[in-house]
Amino acid sequence: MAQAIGVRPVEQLVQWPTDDLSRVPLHIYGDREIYAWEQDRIFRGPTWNFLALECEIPKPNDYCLTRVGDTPVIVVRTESGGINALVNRCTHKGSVLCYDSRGEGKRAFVCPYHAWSFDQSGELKGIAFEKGVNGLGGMPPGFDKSRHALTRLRVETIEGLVFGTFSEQTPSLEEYLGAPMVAHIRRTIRGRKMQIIGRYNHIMPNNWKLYVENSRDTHHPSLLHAFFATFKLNRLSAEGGIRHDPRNWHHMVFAKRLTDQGHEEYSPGRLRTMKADFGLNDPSLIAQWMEFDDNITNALMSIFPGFVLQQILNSVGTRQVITRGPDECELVWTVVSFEDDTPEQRAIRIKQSNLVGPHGYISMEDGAIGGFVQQGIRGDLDKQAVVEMGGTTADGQPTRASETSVRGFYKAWRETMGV
Amino acid sequence: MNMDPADQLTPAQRAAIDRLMVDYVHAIDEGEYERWPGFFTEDGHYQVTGRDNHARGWVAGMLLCDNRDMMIDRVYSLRQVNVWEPHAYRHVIGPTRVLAVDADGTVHAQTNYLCVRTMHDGEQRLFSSGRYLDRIVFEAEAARLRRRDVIADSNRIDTLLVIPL
Repeated sequence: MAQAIGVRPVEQLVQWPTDDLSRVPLHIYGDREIYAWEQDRIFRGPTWNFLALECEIPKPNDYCLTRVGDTPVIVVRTESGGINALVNRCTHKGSVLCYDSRGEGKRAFVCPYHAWSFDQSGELKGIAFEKGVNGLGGMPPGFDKSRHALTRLRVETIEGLVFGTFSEQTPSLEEYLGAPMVAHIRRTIRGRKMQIIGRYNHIMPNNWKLYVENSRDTHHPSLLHAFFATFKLNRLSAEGGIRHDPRNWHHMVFAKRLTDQGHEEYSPGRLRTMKADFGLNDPSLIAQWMEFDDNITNALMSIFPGFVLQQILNSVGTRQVITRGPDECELVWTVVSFEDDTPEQRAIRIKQSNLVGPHGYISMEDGAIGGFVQQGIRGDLDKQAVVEMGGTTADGQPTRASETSVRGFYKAWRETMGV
Repeated sequence: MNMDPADQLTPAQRAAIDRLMVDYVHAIDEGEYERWPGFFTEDGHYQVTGRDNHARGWVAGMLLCDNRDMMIDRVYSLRQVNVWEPHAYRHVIGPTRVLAVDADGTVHAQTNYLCVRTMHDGEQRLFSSGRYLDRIVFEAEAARLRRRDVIADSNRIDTLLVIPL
Protein backbone atom coordinates (compact mmCIF):
# COMPACT_ATOMS: atom_id res chain seq x y z
CA MET A 1 0.00 0.00 0.00
CA ALA A 2 2.25 2.68 -1.23
CA GLN A 3 2.62 5.07 -4.11
CA ALA A 4 5.80 6.78 -2.96
CA ILE A 5 7.99 4.15 -4.56
CA GLY A 6 11.18 5.26 -6.28
CA VAL A 7 10.67 8.86 -5.23
CA ARG A 8 12.88 10.99 -3.04
CA PRO A 9 12.30 11.21 0.73
CA VAL A 10 9.59 13.69 1.56
CA GLU A 11 11.91 15.68 3.83
CA GLN A 12 14.06 16.40 0.79
CA LEU A 13 11.09 17.36 -1.32
CA VAL A 14 9.43 19.81 1.05
CA GLN A 15 11.26 22.36 3.14
CA TRP A 16 8.69 24.63 4.70
CA PRO A 17 9.81 28.23 4.14
CA THR A 18 8.81 29.62 7.54
CA ASP A 19 8.50 28.44 11.12
CA ASP A 20 4.83 29.39 11.11
CA LEU A 21 2.00 28.77 8.62
CA SER A 22 2.03 32.18 6.95
CA ARG A 23 3.72 30.98 3.74
CA VAL A 24 2.96 28.03 1.48
CA PRO A 25 5.57 26.86 -1.06
CA LEU A 26 3.97 26.86 -4.52
CA HIS A 27 5.77 23.75 -5.75
CA ILE A 28 3.53 21.51 -3.61
CA TYR A 29 0.76 22.17 -6.16
CA GLY A 30 2.45 20.56 -9.09
CA ASP A 31 4.93 17.92 -7.97
CA ARG A 32 4.40 14.25 -8.80
CA GLU A 33 6.68 13.01 -6.02
CA ILE A 34 4.95 15.07 -3.34
CA TYR A 35 1.65 13.85 -4.73
CA ALA A 36 2.78 10.24 -4.23
CA TRP A 37 3.68 10.99 -0.61
CA GLU A 38 0.29 12.60 -0.08
CA GLN A 39 -1.38 9.37 -1.15
CA ASP A 40 0.58 7.38 1.44
CA ARG A 41 0.79 9.80 4.32
CA ILE A 42 -2.55 11.60 4.02
CA PHE A 43 -5.15 9.51 2.21
CA ARG A 44 -3.78 6.20 3.53
CA GLY A 45 -2.57 7.82 6.72
CA PRO A 46 -4.24 8.72 10.03
CA THR A 47 -7.22 10.51 8.47
CA TRP A 48 -10.93 9.79 8.10
CA ASN A 49 -12.08 10.07 4.49
CA PHE A 50 -15.67 10.49 3.38
CA LEU A 51 -16.82 7.42 1.43
CA ALA A 52 -20.55 7.65 0.74
CA LEU A 53 -23.96 8.46 2.15
CA GLU A 54 -25.70 5.61 3.92
CA CYS A 55 -28.77 6.26 1.78
CA GLU A 56 -26.79 5.18 -1.30
CA ILE A 57 -26.66 1.61 0.00
CA PRO A 58 -29.95 1.26 1.89
CA LYS A 59 -30.49 -2.52 1.60
CA PRO A 60 -28.30 -5.47 2.60
CA ASN A 61 -25.87 -6.40 -0.19
CA ASP A 62 -26.09 -2.98 -1.90
CA TYR A 63 -22.73 -1.58 -2.88
CA CYS A 64 -21.29 1.56 -4.42
CA LEU A 65 -17.81 2.53 -5.58
CA THR A 66 -15.82 5.48 -4.33
CA ARG A 67 -12.21 6.63 -4.09
CA VAL A 68 -9.92 7.59 -1.24
CA GLY A 69 -7.31 9.73 -2.93
CA ASP A 70 -6.31 7.56 -5.89
CA THR A 71 -7.36 4.27 -4.31
CA PRO A 72 -10.57 2.66 -5.61
CA VAL A 73 -12.83 1.50 -2.78
CA ILE A 74 -15.99 -0.63 -2.58
CA VAL A 75 -18.53 0.32 0.09
CA VAL A 76 -20.94 -2.52 0.80
CA ARG A 77 -23.94 -2.91 3.09
CA THR A 78 -23.44 -6.36 4.60
CA GLU A 79 -26.06 -9.09 4.97
CA SER A 80 -26.37 -8.16 8.63
CA GLY A 81 -26.79 -4.44 7.88
CA GLY A 82 -23.29 -3.19 8.71
CA ILE A 83 -21.05 -1.29 6.31
CA ASN A 84 -17.70 -2.57 5.06
CA ALA A 85 -15.19 -0.76 2.89
CA LEU A 86 -12.68 -2.75 0.83
CA VAL A 87 -10.00 -1.78 -1.62
CA ASN A 88 -11.34 -2.61 -5.08
CA ARG A 89 -8.25 -4.57 -6.12
CA CYS A 90 -8.06 -8.31 -6.54
CA THR A 91 -5.12 -9.69 -4.57
CA HIS A 92 -4.31 -12.01 -7.47
CA LYS A 93 -3.34 -9.75 -10.36
CA GLY A 94 -4.65 -6.38 -9.26
CA SER A 95 -7.76 -6.05 -11.40
CA VAL A 96 -10.73 -4.14 -10.02
CA LEU A 97 -13.37 -6.52 -8.70
CA CYS A 98 -16.33 -4.22 -9.32
CA TYR A 99 -16.45 -2.11 -12.44
CA ASP A 100 -20.03 -0.83 -12.27
CA SER A 101 -20.39 2.21 -10.03
CA ARG A 102 -23.16 0.64 -7.98
CA GLY A 103 -25.27 -2.45 -7.65
CA GLU A 104 -27.34 -4.68 -5.40
CA GLY A 105 -27.43 -8.30 -4.32
CA LYS A 106 -23.66 -8.38 -3.91
CA ARG A 107 -22.98 -11.23 -1.48
CA ALA A 108 -19.50 -11.88 -2.85
CA PHE A 109 -16.98 -10.12 -5.02
CA VAL A 110 -15.75 -12.26 -7.89
CA CYS A 111 -12.87 -11.01 -9.96
CA PRO A 112 -13.78 -10.79 -13.66
CA TYR A 113 -10.26 -11.90 -14.64
CA HIS A 114 -9.66 -15.32 -13.01
CA ALA A 115 -12.71 -15.63 -10.73
CA TRP A 116 -11.02 -15.30 -7.37
CA SER A 117 -13.90 -14.64 -4.98
CA PHE A 118 -14.04 -12.65 -1.78
CA ASP A 119 -16.76 -12.30 0.83
CA GLN A 120 -18.17 -9.02 2.12
CA SER A 121 -15.40 -8.83 4.72
CA GLY A 122 -12.77 -9.12 2.02
CA GLU A 123 -11.72 -12.69 2.91
CA LEU A 124 -10.53 -14.76 -0.05
CA LYS A 125 -13.01 -17.62 -0.26
CA GLY A 126 -12.45 -19.27 -3.58
CA ILE A 127 -9.90 -19.69 -6.34
CA ALA A 128 -11.05 -21.19 -9.62
CA PHE A 129 -9.24 -24.47 -10.32
CA GLU A 130 -7.53 -24.22 -6.93
CA LYS A 131 -6.89 -28.00 -7.05
CA GLY A 132 -5.95 -27.94 -10.70
CA VAL A 133 -7.39 -30.27 -13.34
CA ASN A 134 -7.10 -34.06 -13.04
CA GLY A 135 -4.56 -33.64 -10.27
CA LEU A 136 -2.32 -31.41 -12.35
CA GLY A 137 -1.59 -27.74 -11.83
CA GLY A 138 -3.56 -25.71 -9.31
CA MET A 139 -2.27 -23.82 -6.32
CA PRO A 140 0.49 -25.39 -4.21
CA PRO A 141 -0.79 -27.21 -1.12
CA GLY A 142 0.69 -24.66 1.28
CA PHE A 143 -1.05 -21.69 -0.31
CA ASP A 144 -2.79 -19.84 2.54
CA LYS A 145 -5.90 -18.02 1.33
CA SER A 146 -6.25 -16.17 4.62
CA ARG A 147 -3.12 -14.19 3.74
CA HIS A 148 -4.66 -12.82 0.57
CA ALA A 149 -7.68 -10.94 1.83
CA LEU A 150 -8.68 -7.58 0.37
CA THR A 151 -7.35 -4.53 2.15
CA ARG A 152 -10.12 -3.44 4.46
CA LEU A 153 -10.69 0.06 5.80
CA ARG A 154 -12.03 0.85 9.24
CA VAL A 155 -15.51 2.33 8.83
CA GLU A 156 -17.51 4.64 11.07
CA THR A 157 -20.64 6.64 10.39
CA ILE A 158 -22.18 9.79 11.76
CA GLU A 159 -25.66 11.02 10.84
CA GLY A 160 -25.75 9.00 7.63
CA LEU A 161 -22.26 10.04 6.49
CA VAL A 162 -19.89 7.08 5.99
CA PHE A 163 -16.16 7.57 6.63
CA GLY A 164 -13.25 5.20 6.24
CA THR A 165 -9.62 5.13 7.31
CA PHE A 166 -6.69 2.90 6.33
CA SER A 167 -4.73 3.47 9.51
CA GLU A 168 -4.99 1.75 12.86
CA GLN A 169 -3.50 4.92 14.35
CA THR A 170 -6.47 7.10 13.46
CA PRO A 171 -8.49 7.94 16.58
CA SER A 172 -12.23 7.24 16.61
CA LEU A 173 -14.22 9.32 14.11
CA GLU A 174 -15.74 11.54 16.78
CA GLU A 175 -12.41 12.16 18.42
CA TYR A 176 -10.86 12.89 15.02
CA LEU A 177 -13.59 15.38 14.14
CA GLY A 178 -13.62 17.04 17.56
CA ALA A 179 -16.66 18.12 19.52
CA PRO A 180 -17.45 21.36 17.59
CA MET A 181 -17.50 19.53 14.23
CA VAL A 182 -19.56 16.65 15.64
CA ALA A 183 -22.02 19.18 17.05
CA HIS A 184 -22.26 20.94 13.69
CA ILE A 185 -22.92 17.69 11.81
CA ARG A 186 -25.64 16.74 14.27
CA ARG A 187 -27.13 20.23 14.07
CA THR A 188 -27.24 20.11 10.25
CA ILE A 189 -28.64 16.60 9.74
CA ARG A 190 -30.35 16.15 13.14
CA GLY A 191 -31.32 12.57 12.55
CA ARG A 192 -33.28 13.28 9.39
CA LYS A 193 -33.24 10.68 6.66
CA MET A 194 -31.45 11.93 3.55
CA GLN A 195 -32.62 11.57 -0.02
CA ILE A 196 -30.25 12.48 -2.83
CA ILE A 197 -31.74 15.03 -5.23
CA GLY A 198 -28.68 15.67 -7.40
CA ARG A 199 -25.03 14.89 -7.98
CA TYR A 200 -22.46 16.88 -9.94
CA ASN A 201 -19.07 15.47 -10.90
CA HIS A 202 -16.95 18.55 -11.21
CA ILE A 203 -13.52 18.22 -12.82
CA MET A 204 -11.25 21.04 -11.67
CA PRO A 205 -8.04 21.99 -13.50
CA ASN A 206 -6.01 22.34 -10.32
CA ASN A 207 -4.25 20.45 -7.55
CA TRP A 208 -6.68 19.09 -4.97
CA LYS A 209 -5.28 21.31 -2.22
CA LEU A 210 -6.25 24.45 -4.10
CA TYR A 211 -9.89 23.43 -3.94
CA VAL A 212 -9.75 22.41 -0.29
CA GLU A 213 -8.16 25.67 0.76
CA ASN A 214 -10.73 27.57 -1.30
CA SER A 215 -13.49 25.79 0.62
CA ARG A 216 -11.90 27.08 3.82
CA ASP A 217 -10.99 30.54 2.62
CA THR A 218 -13.39 32.63 4.63
CA HIS A 219 -12.48 35.97 3.23
CA HIS A 220 -12.92 35.32 -0.49
CA PRO A 221 -16.70 34.76 -0.78
CA SER A 222 -17.86 38.35 -0.94
CA LEU A 223 -14.78 39.36 -2.96
CA LEU A 224 -14.85 36.70 -5.67
CA HIS A 225 -18.55 35.90 -5.67
CA ALA A 226 -20.55 38.92 -6.77
CA PHE A 227 -23.74 37.00 -6.23
CA PHE A 228 -23.05 36.64 -2.50
CA ALA A 229 -22.09 40.25 -1.98
CA THR A 230 -24.82 41.84 -4.05
CA PHE A 231 -27.63 39.98 -2.34
CA LYS A 232 -26.07 40.35 1.10
CA LEU A 233 -26.11 36.56 1.39
CA ASN A 234 -22.61 36.22 2.77
CA ARG A 235 -20.72 39.41 3.48
CA LEU A 236 -18.04 39.92 6.06
CA SER A 237 -20.26 42.54 7.71
CA ALA A 238 -22.82 39.91 8.69
CA GLU A 239 -22.49 38.14 12.01
CA GLY A 240 -20.40 35.04 11.58
CA GLY A 241 -17.27 33.29 12.66
CA ILE A 242 -14.99 30.31 12.47
CA ARG A 243 -15.11 27.24 14.69
CA HIS A 244 -12.42 24.62 14.82
CA ASP A 245 -11.48 21.32 16.40
CA PRO A 246 -8.85 21.11 19.17
CA ARG A 247 -6.05 20.38 16.66
CA ASN A 248 -7.17 23.11 14.20
CA TRP A 249 -7.32 20.54 11.41
CA HIS A 250 -10.99 21.10 10.59
CA HIS A 251 -12.93 24.32 10.39
CA MET A 252 -16.52 25.42 10.13
CA VAL A 253 -17.20 28.91 8.86
CA PHE A 254 -20.64 30.42 9.16
CA ALA A 255 -22.64 33.55 8.49
CA LYS A 256 -26.04 34.88 9.49
CA ARG A 257 -27.48 36.64 6.49
CA LEU A 258 -30.10 38.66 8.38
CA THR A 259 -27.59 40.28 10.75
CA ASP A 260 -25.71 42.13 7.99
CA GLN A 261 -24.82 45.63 9.25
CA GLY A 262 -22.97 46.71 6.10
CA HIS A 263 -19.45 48.10 5.76
CA GLU A 264 -18.06 50.94 3.68
CA GLU A 265 -15.99 48.44 1.63
CA TYR A 266 -19.30 47.27 0.21
CA SER A 267 -20.33 50.75 -0.99
CA PRO A 268 -21.20 50.82 -4.69
CA GLY A 269 -18.09 51.26 -6.80
CA ARG A 270 -15.62 50.00 -4.20
CA LEU A 271 -15.61 46.30 -4.99
CA ARG A 272 -16.12 44.57 -8.31
CA THR A 273 -18.53 42.23 -6.60
CA MET A 274 -21.02 44.91 -5.54
CA LYS A 275 -23.43 45.22 -8.46
CA ALA A 276 -25.95 47.86 -7.45
CA ASP A 277 -27.97 47.25 -10.60
CA PHE A 278 -28.17 43.47 -10.38
CA GLY A 279 -31.64 42.51 -9.28
CA LEU A 280 -33.14 39.10 -9.89
CA ASN A 281 -36.20 38.98 -12.13
CA ASP A 282 -37.14 35.90 -10.17
CA PRO A 283 -36.06 36.35 -6.55
CA SER A 284 -37.62 33.01 -5.59
CA LEU A 285 -34.10 31.62 -6.08
CA ILE A 286 -32.92 33.11 -2.81
CA ALA A 287 -36.14 32.75 -0.84
CA GLN A 288 -35.40 30.51 2.11
CA TRP A 289 -36.99 29.29 5.28
CA MET A 290 -35.15 29.50 8.59
CA GLU A 291 -34.28 25.84 8.94
CA PHE A 292 -32.00 26.12 11.96
CA ASP A 293 -32.61 27.71 15.36
CA ASP A 294 -29.16 29.29 15.37
CA ASN A 295 -30.18 31.50 12.38
CA ILE A 296 -27.05 30.47 10.47
CA THR A 297 -27.81 30.85 6.78
CA ASN A 298 -24.45 29.81 5.38
CA ALA A 299 -22.15 27.19 6.85
CA LEU A 300 -19.25 25.34 5.30
CA MET A 301 -17.52 22.69 7.36
CA SER A 302 -14.25 21.43 5.92
CA ILE A 303 -12.85 18.19 7.34
CA PHE A 304 -9.24 17.27 6.60
CA PRO A 305 -8.30 16.06 4.10
CA GLY A 306 -11.09 16.49 1.55
CA PHE A 307 -14.65 16.56 2.85
CA VAL A 308 -17.06 19.46 3.03
CA LEU A 309 -20.54 19.58 4.55
CA GLN A 310 -22.42 22.45 3.02
CA GLN A 311 -25.42 24.54 4.00
CA ILE A 312 -26.01 27.45 1.63
CA LEU A 313 -29.41 28.88 2.61
CA ASN A 314 -31.41 25.61 2.39
CA SER A 315 -29.10 23.80 0.01
CA VAL A 316 -27.63 20.99 2.10
CA GLY A 317 -25.09 18.60 0.71
CA THR A 318 -21.67 17.01 0.71
CA ARG A 319 -18.55 17.63 -1.33
CA GLN A 320 -15.90 14.96 -1.70
CA VAL A 321 -12.50 15.81 -3.15
CA ILE A 322 -10.93 13.06 -5.27
CA THR A 323 -7.36 13.39 -6.48
CA ARG A 324 -6.59 13.01 -10.19
CA GLY A 325 -2.87 13.66 -10.39
CA PRO A 326 -0.89 16.73 -9.30
CA ASP A 327 -2.77 19.25 -11.44
CA GLU A 328 -6.36 18.01 -11.61
CA CYS A 329 -9.00 16.90 -9.14
CA GLU A 330 -12.64 15.92 -9.07
CA LEU A 331 -15.19 17.35 -6.70
CA VAL A 332 -18.24 15.18 -6.20
CA TRP A 333 -21.18 17.33 -5.12
CA THR A 334 -24.22 15.60 -3.67
CA VAL A 335 -27.26 17.68 -2.76
CA VAL A 336 -29.97 16.22 -0.57
CA SER A 337 -33.45 16.74 0.74
CA PHE A 338 -34.85 15.11 3.86
CA GLU A 339 -37.66 12.63 4.19
CA ASP A 340 -39.72 14.96 6.38
CA ASP A 341 -39.42 17.96 4.03
CA THR A 342 -42.71 19.41 2.83
CA PRO A 343 -43.08 19.51 -0.99
CA GLU A 344 -42.46 23.28 -0.80
CA GLN A 345 -39.25 22.82 1.18
CA ARG A 346 -38.02 20.18 -1.23
CA ALA A 347 -38.77 22.51 -4.15
CA ILE A 348 -36.73 25.29 -2.49
CA ARG A 349 -33.76 22.94 -2.05
CA ILE A 350 -33.97 21.87 -5.68
CA LYS A 351 -34.10 25.49 -6.86
CA GLN A 352 -31.20 26.51 -4.62
CA SER A 353 -28.99 23.86 -6.17
CA ASN A 354 -28.47 26.70 -8.69
CA LEU A 355 -26.08 28.19 -6.13
CA VAL A 356 -23.70 25.22 -6.00
CA GLY A 357 -21.94 22.80 -8.32
CA PRO A 358 -20.07 23.47 -11.57
CA HIS A 359 -23.01 25.61 -12.71
CA GLY A 360 -23.55 27.35 -9.37
CA TYR A 361 -24.05 31.11 -9.40
CA ILE A 362 -21.47 31.07 -6.63
CA SER A 363 -19.39 27.95 -6.89
CA MET A 364 -18.74 27.93 -10.64
CA GLU A 365 -16.16 30.57 -9.79
CA ASP A 366 -14.43 28.23 -7.35
CA GLY A 367 -14.07 25.83 -10.27
CA ALA A 368 -12.35 28.53 -12.28
CA ILE A 369 -10.20 30.13 -9.59
CA GLY A 370 -8.14 27.04 -8.79
CA GLY A 371 -7.25 26.83 -12.47
CA PHE A 372 -6.28 30.50 -12.44
CA VAL A 373 -3.82 29.79 -9.62
CA GLN A 374 -2.51 26.66 -11.33
CA GLN A 375 -1.90 28.73 -14.49
CA GLY A 376 -0.41 31.66 -12.63
CA ILE A 377 2.22 29.73 -10.71
CA ARG A 378 3.81 28.17 -13.81
CA GLY A 379 7.47 29.04 -13.92
CA ASP A 380 7.43 30.36 -10.36
CA LEU A 381 7.37 27.20 -8.29
CA ASP A 382 10.15 28.53 -6.07
CA LYS A 383 7.79 31.28 -4.82
CA GLN A 384 5.39 31.19 -1.90
CA ALA A 385 1.76 32.01 -1.27
CA VAL A 386 1.08 34.58 1.45
CA VAL A 387 -1.44 33.38 4.01
CA GLU A 388 -1.19 36.03 6.67
CA MET A 389 -4.61 37.63 7.03
CA GLY A 390 -5.65 37.34 10.66
CA GLY A 391 -2.17 36.36 11.83
CA THR A 392 0.08 33.36 11.44
CA THR A 393 -1.65 30.71 13.54
CA ALA A 394 -4.60 28.43 12.87
CA ASP A 395 -6.88 29.00 15.85
CA GLY A 396 -10.56 29.94 15.76
CA GLN A 397 -11.40 33.58 15.25
CA PRO A 398 -14.45 35.76 15.76
CA THR A 399 -14.06 37.30 12.30
CA ARG A 400 -14.01 35.85 8.82
CA ALA A 401 -11.59 38.54 7.61
CA SER A 402 -8.94 35.93 8.22
CA GLU A 403 -7.14 33.04 6.60
CA THR A 404 -6.89 31.03 9.78
CA SER A 405 -8.66 27.99 8.41
CA VAL A 406 -6.40 27.87 5.35
CA ARG A 407 -3.49 27.82 7.78
CA GLY A 408 -5.29 25.03 9.65
CA PHE A 409 -5.32 22.97 6.47
CA TYR A 410 -1.55 23.36 6.09
CA LYS A 411 -1.04 22.57 9.76
CA ALA A 412 -2.81 19.24 9.20
CA TRP A 413 -0.95 18.73 5.91
CA ARG A 414 2.46 19.28 7.51
CA GLU A 415 1.66 17.08 10.51
CA THR A 416 0.49 14.17 8.39
CA MET A 417 3.25 14.57 5.79
CA GLY A 418 5.90 14.92 8.50
CA VAL A 419 7.50 18.04 7.07
CA MET B 1 -47.89 -0.97 -38.80
CA ASN B 2 -47.45 1.60 -36.03
CA MET B 3 -47.86 5.17 -37.09
CA ASP B 4 -44.88 7.46 -36.64
CA PRO B 5 -45.96 10.15 -34.14
CA ALA B 6 -44.41 12.67 -36.50
CA ASP B 7 -47.22 11.93 -38.93
CA GLN B 8 -49.62 13.75 -36.59
CA LEU B 9 -47.84 17.02 -37.32
CA THR B 10 -48.52 19.27 -40.28
CA PRO B 11 -45.60 20.07 -42.58
CA ALA B 12 -45.71 23.62 -41.23
CA GLN B 13 -45.41 22.35 -37.65
CA ARG B 14 -42.51 20.12 -38.56
CA ALA B 15 -40.78 23.00 -40.28
CA ALA B 16 -41.38 25.17 -37.20
CA ILE B 17 -39.73 22.55 -34.96
CA ASP B 18 -36.74 22.32 -37.26
CA ARG B 19 -36.39 26.10 -37.23
CA LEU B 20 -36.52 26.10 -33.41
CA MET B 21 -33.78 23.48 -33.14
CA VAL B 22 -31.45 25.22 -35.56
CA ASP B 23 -32.11 28.72 -34.29
CA TYR B 24 -31.53 27.66 -30.66
CA VAL B 25 -28.02 26.32 -31.18
CA HIS B 26 -27.19 29.12 -33.59
CA ALA B 27 -28.09 31.75 -30.98
CA ILE B 28 -25.93 30.09 -28.34
CA ASP B 29 -22.97 29.35 -30.59
CA GLU B 30 -22.90 32.91 -31.91
CA GLY B 31 -22.99 34.31 -28.39
CA GLU B 32 -26.49 35.76 -28.71
CA TYR B 33 -27.34 34.56 -25.22
CA GLU B 34 -30.05 37.17 -24.72
CA ARG B 35 -32.12 35.30 -27.30
CA TRP B 36 -31.98 32.06 -25.31
CA PRO B 37 -34.99 32.66 -22.99
CA GLY B 38 -37.12 33.54 -26.00
CA PHE B 39 -37.06 29.96 -27.24
CA PHE B 40 -39.10 28.97 -24.20
CA THR B 41 -42.67 29.61 -23.13
CA GLU B 42 -43.22 31.99 -20.21
CA ASP B 43 -43.40 29.01 -17.83
CA GLY B 44 -40.66 27.13 -19.69
CA HIS B 45 -38.45 24.70 -17.81
CA TYR B 46 -34.76 24.06 -18.52
CA GLN B 47 -32.06 21.99 -16.92
CA VAL B 48 -28.91 20.05 -17.71
CA THR B 49 -28.36 16.70 -16.13
CA GLY B 50 -26.19 13.62 -16.61
CA ARG B 51 -27.62 10.43 -18.05
CA ASP B 52 -26.96 8.55 -14.82
CA ASN B 53 -28.65 11.21 -12.67
CA HIS B 54 -31.58 11.23 -15.03
CA ALA B 55 -31.93 7.46 -14.79
CA ARG B 56 -31.88 7.65 -10.99
CA GLY B 57 -34.59 10.29 -10.88
CA TRP B 58 -32.35 12.91 -9.28
CA VAL B 59 -34.22 16.04 -10.16
CA ALA B 60 -31.85 18.83 -9.17
CA GLY B 61 -30.19 19.39 -12.53
CA MET B 62 -27.71 22.09 -13.46
CA LEU B 63 -28.69 25.59 -14.66
CA LEU B 64 -32.17 24.71 -13.54
CA CYS B 65 -34.76 27.33 -14.52
CA ASP B 66 -38.48 26.88 -14.04
CA ASN B 67 -39.58 30.05 -15.82
CA ARG B 68 -38.30 32.53 -18.38
CA ASP B 69 -37.35 35.12 -15.73
CA MET B 70 -34.86 32.69 -14.21
CA MET B 71 -33.29 32.28 -17.65
CA ILE B 72 -33.03 36.05 -18.06
CA ASP B 73 -31.29 36.19 -14.66
CA ARG B 74 -28.82 33.53 -15.76
CA VAL B 75 -27.96 35.41 -18.92
CA TYR B 76 -27.50 38.69 -17.05
CA SER B 77 -25.32 36.93 -14.51
CA LEU B 78 -23.08 35.29 -17.10
CA ARG B 79 -22.66 38.64 -18.86
CA GLN B 80 -22.20 40.91 -15.86
CA VAL B 81 -21.63 39.04 -12.65
CA ASN B 82 -19.81 35.73 -12.91
CA VAL B 83 -16.05 35.34 -13.32
CA TRP B 84 -15.04 32.87 -16.04
CA GLU B 85 -12.47 32.45 -18.77
CA PRO B 86 -13.96 33.49 -22.11
CA HIS B 87 -15.04 30.55 -24.23
CA ALA B 88 -17.63 29.63 -26.83
CA TYR B 89 -19.57 26.56 -27.89
CA ARG B 90 -20.15 24.94 -31.25
CA HIS B 91 -23.13 22.60 -31.32
CA VAL B 92 -23.80 20.02 -33.98
CA ILE B 93 -27.31 18.59 -33.78
CA GLY B 94 -28.89 15.58 -35.39
CA PRO B 95 -32.38 15.29 -36.86
CA THR B 96 -35.28 15.63 -34.43
CA ARG B 97 -37.19 12.49 -33.61
CA VAL B 98 -40.82 12.97 -32.56
CA LEU B 99 -41.54 10.63 -29.66
CA ALA B 100 -45.22 11.41 -29.03
CA VAL B 101 -47.89 14.04 -29.46
CA ASP B 102 -50.21 14.74 -26.51
CA ALA B 103 -53.95 15.32 -26.88
CA ASP B 104 -53.37 19.06 -26.29
CA GLY B 105 -50.86 19.11 -29.14
CA THR B 106 -47.68 19.17 -27.03
CA VAL B 107 -44.91 17.47 -28.96
CA HIS B 108 -42.38 15.25 -27.19
CA ALA B 109 -39.17 15.13 -29.14
CA GLN B 110 -35.53 14.15 -28.91
CA THR B 111 -32.56 15.69 -30.68
CA ASN B 112 -28.97 14.54 -30.24
CA TYR B 113 -26.15 17.08 -29.91
CA LEU B 114 -22.39 17.35 -29.77
CA CYS B 115 -20.87 20.47 -28.26
CA VAL B 116 -17.24 21.51 -28.66
CA ARG B 117 -15.89 24.19 -26.33
CA THR B 118 -13.18 26.56 -27.54
CA MET B 119 -11.33 28.59 -24.91
CA HIS B 120 -10.00 32.10 -25.48
CA ASP B 121 -6.48 30.72 -25.92
CA GLY B 122 -7.61 28.30 -28.62
CA GLU B 123 -7.80 25.09 -26.58
CA GLN B 124 -10.60 22.92 -27.89
CA ARG B 125 -12.26 19.88 -26.43
CA LEU B 126 -15.46 17.92 -26.69
CA PHE B 127 -17.34 19.55 -23.84
CA SER B 128 -20.56 17.56 -23.94
CA SER B 129 -22.54 15.09 -25.99
CA GLY B 130 -26.08 14.06 -25.27
CA ARG B 131 -29.68 14.61 -26.18
CA TYR B 132 -32.30 17.27 -25.83
CA LEU B 133 -35.52 15.84 -24.43
CA ASP B 134 -38.10 18.45 -25.32
CA ARG B 135 -41.74 19.30 -24.89
CA ILE B 136 -42.68 21.66 -27.66
CA VAL B 137 -45.83 23.75 -28.07
CA PHE B 138 -46.92 26.05 -30.87
CA GLU B 139 -47.54 29.72 -30.18
CA ALA B 140 -49.02 31.33 -33.28
CA GLU B 141 -46.70 30.07 -36.06
CA ALA B 142 -43.68 29.49 -33.84
CA ALA B 143 -42.61 26.37 -31.98
CA ARG B 144 -41.46 27.01 -28.41
CA LEU B 145 -39.99 24.89 -25.67
CA ARG B 146 -42.19 24.29 -22.67
CA ARG B 147 -39.48 22.06 -21.30
CA ARG B 148 -35.96 21.16 -22.34
CA ASP B 149 -34.02 18.54 -20.39
CA VAL B 150 -30.47 18.37 -21.63
CA ILE B 151 -29.39 14.82 -20.84
CA ALA B 152 -25.61 14.82 -21.14
CA ASP B 153 -24.05 11.42 -21.71
CA SER B 154 -21.45 12.11 -19.04
CA ASN B 155 -22.01 13.25 -15.49
CA ARG B 156 -18.76 15.14 -15.56
CA ILE B 157 -18.43 18.85 -16.18
CA ASP B 158 -15.00 20.27 -16.88
CA THR B 159 -14.24 23.42 -14.85
CA LEU B 160 -17.66 25.05 -15.10
CA LEU B 161 -20.99 25.24 -16.89
CA VAL B 162 -21.98 28.85 -17.40
CA ILE B 163 -23.29 29.01 -20.99
CA PRO B 164 -26.42 26.93 -21.47
CA LEU B 165 -26.12 23.84 -23.64
